[in-house]
Amino acid sequence: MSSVNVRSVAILVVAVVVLGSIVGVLMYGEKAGEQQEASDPGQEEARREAERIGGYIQAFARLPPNPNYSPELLRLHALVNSEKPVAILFWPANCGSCIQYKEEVWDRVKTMFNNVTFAEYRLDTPEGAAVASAFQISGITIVLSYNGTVLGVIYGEHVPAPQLAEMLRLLTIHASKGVRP
Amino acid sequence: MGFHPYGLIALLAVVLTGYAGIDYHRASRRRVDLAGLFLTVFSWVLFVFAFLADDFNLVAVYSYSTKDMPVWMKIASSWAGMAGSFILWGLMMAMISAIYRFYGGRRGVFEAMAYRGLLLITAAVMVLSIEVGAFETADVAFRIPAGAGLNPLLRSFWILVHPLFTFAGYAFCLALALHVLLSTRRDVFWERLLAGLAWINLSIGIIAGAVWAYNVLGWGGYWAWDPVETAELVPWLALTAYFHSPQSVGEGGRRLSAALTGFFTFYSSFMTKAGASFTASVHTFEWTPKATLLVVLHFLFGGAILALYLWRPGRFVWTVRRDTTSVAFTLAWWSLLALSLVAFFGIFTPVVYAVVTGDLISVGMEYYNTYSAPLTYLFLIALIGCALRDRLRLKRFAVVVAATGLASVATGLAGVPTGNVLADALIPVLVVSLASASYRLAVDLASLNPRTLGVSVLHVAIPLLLVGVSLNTTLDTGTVLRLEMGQPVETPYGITITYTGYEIRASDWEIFYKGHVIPEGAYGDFIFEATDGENTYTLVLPVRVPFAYGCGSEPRTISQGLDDIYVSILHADFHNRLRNLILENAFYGGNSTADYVIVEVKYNPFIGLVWLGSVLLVGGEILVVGSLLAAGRWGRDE
Repeated sequence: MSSVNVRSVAILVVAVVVLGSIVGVLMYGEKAGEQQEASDPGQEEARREAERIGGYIQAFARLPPNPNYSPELLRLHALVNSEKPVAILFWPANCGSCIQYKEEVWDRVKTMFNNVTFAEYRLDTPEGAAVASAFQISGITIVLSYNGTVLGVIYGEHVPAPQLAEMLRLLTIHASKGVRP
Repeated sequence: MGFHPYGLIALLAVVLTGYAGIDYHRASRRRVDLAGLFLTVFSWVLFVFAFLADDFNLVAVYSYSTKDMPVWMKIASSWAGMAGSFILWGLMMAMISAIYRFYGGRRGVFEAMAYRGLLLITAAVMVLSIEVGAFETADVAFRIPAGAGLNPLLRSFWILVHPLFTFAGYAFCLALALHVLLSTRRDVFWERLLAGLAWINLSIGIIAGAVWAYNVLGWGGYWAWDPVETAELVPWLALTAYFHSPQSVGEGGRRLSAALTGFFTFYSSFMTKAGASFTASVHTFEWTPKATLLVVLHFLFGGAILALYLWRPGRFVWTVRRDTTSVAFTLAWWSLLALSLVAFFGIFTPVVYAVVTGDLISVGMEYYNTYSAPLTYLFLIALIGCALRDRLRLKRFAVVVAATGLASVATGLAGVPTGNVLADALIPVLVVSLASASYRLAVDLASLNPRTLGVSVLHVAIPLLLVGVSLNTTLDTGTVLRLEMGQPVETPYGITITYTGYEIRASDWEIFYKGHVIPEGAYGDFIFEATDGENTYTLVLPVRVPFAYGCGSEPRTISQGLDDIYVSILHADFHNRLRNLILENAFYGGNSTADYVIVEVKYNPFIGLVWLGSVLLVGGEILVVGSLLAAGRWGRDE
């Protein structure tokens, strides 16, 4: 029975599959991120959650400190009323993506400013959880404040680039003297 | 950090298996290899015993267990972490090495070089387990009273099934790859047995993972093309190609698909352990600072397997005979190879991208569906040819293919039946392949040969499963409902659902955290009543809020024939409001009430076909392997 040699076709097809896959990953990988930012209902949820937390902390900052507060709450009250710009991170240290987030976003931001007070509360410790509970914070949250005014809150570990840029812009304005070149 | 005495046994196991792997002939005379394998198994037993004995000074036990957990969960938590899963892999490697030595020896196909490779991999896996801290102890001068507990997402029966079968599958894949690449003589039945056992174990591992994701994790589906789950599919695809190689691409193709199965097995293991450091995955229960080390080691071993192939690649058959069988098998092999490459580059490219740019990317449904659909189409065409090979000559087969293609164009353009062009184009070829495979099954039923019957059953299972997947992923729909307590809400899917109440309680377990023994966390059970007019179902959706891990909630399903109604509490609701409410009410004297719960109700049509197809897929291959064993084909002359 006669036969056909498919060597050239097969090699060509495999080459197209391999190159096409690589191009496809780069194409869809980027698109997936963009689409998520544009249409993810979770982002809207996160924005509203950030607004709520911001409102709570703003109210807390304006009240005089209560002597019945726990030491951790007193520290937080002092922080948000500080005359230096303050950035506070609430984060759970028991998930890989949260640790990554902290290291890749937060720790990077920390190195960019030297006139900003950075503080951290871990949601997975009883002390941190007690503070977070007061403001019903349950996920990664960054609070920016200056002299008793909450400048902005970012909620959720999938922070869209524009929000992160806005945070950096606010920090830059309020810590302008301290910005490293 | 100290080193637990049990680790000395593991170290001795590494030394003995490693020595036997390097100098097998001298070592085997003194049974050093057997001592090494025995100590590897014994290391696993000791490691599990540490979990059962609540030895919390062992960091692994502290991290994943606590004293109040049930026994089965303590055993399962031993492989919940990276170090423990390497020991589990070591156990499987040791057991399968022993099977290779004894049963391979009895059959007369024992190949010392392949066995040495298995011993070296066993030793290397155990080295990795020690390196990532399996036997590290906490540096404290007191006995730690409790552990941190287990991630709520892992507290499931399926943690007993999915990892065990996955690692057994990996070990059989490596045994097959090494045997095929290193043996000097071919034994069809022995290789078929190794390949069959690898395939059964990997299949059960993949399916158990899918069932786990669907029924427990509440990810909303059984398959999401997440990088880690895709990683297990890649060696499975290469292994499936292996089965089709003898009739298509000859010795060279057989060796190549075996080598790729081995290489992908190492890559798959790397993705599962360290992939979270290089790509975005929802399958991340752990993050490791030793990811780079794991990459290097896995590529070293995977590279060695590929080097073995390049050393003796064998003759690759590039020609296709002009008959239906040859065309069908060749098409099957090449389409499966291409599918494995699409899946591999889908998870490999993001890793390279992350290394080069530092950014994490991943691709999902859109990439995989777009790229895999045409290749799946070709594979199904091959299945038609394979099933009808004794009925259709090549010209008639070409006519069937052309007619199916035209039907696909028509359904794709018309948007029938789903409106999704890819799924609609697949439907005609799925129908024809299902009919063809069913015909083959009917013929084989008459012959009552369990081996061919098993192959036919699994070939029916493939289109059946894919029909379920195509219809389910395109026709599923969902709605988010705010359910006020006591107020029934009608869903669009013929079900009325009422939120009837909730119970909150502190966990009975204790954990040791930040220097204190505290309750492990709190649970909330949210209770719903659903009715379809005839039947009433009570759904209890638990929300677990442990202090040491992120909170989790489980979905519940109502099965209606092939379809499911899938009810889950919306992530944003249980992760924020309900989590706080549970903690406040359980521990801080809070008295706020959960007057409402936000749930997502999904309609999953034809999901039953996915599970039926999965069961038949594995069942068919079990029949094949069972018939091989039952026929007693252990003589050398088979």
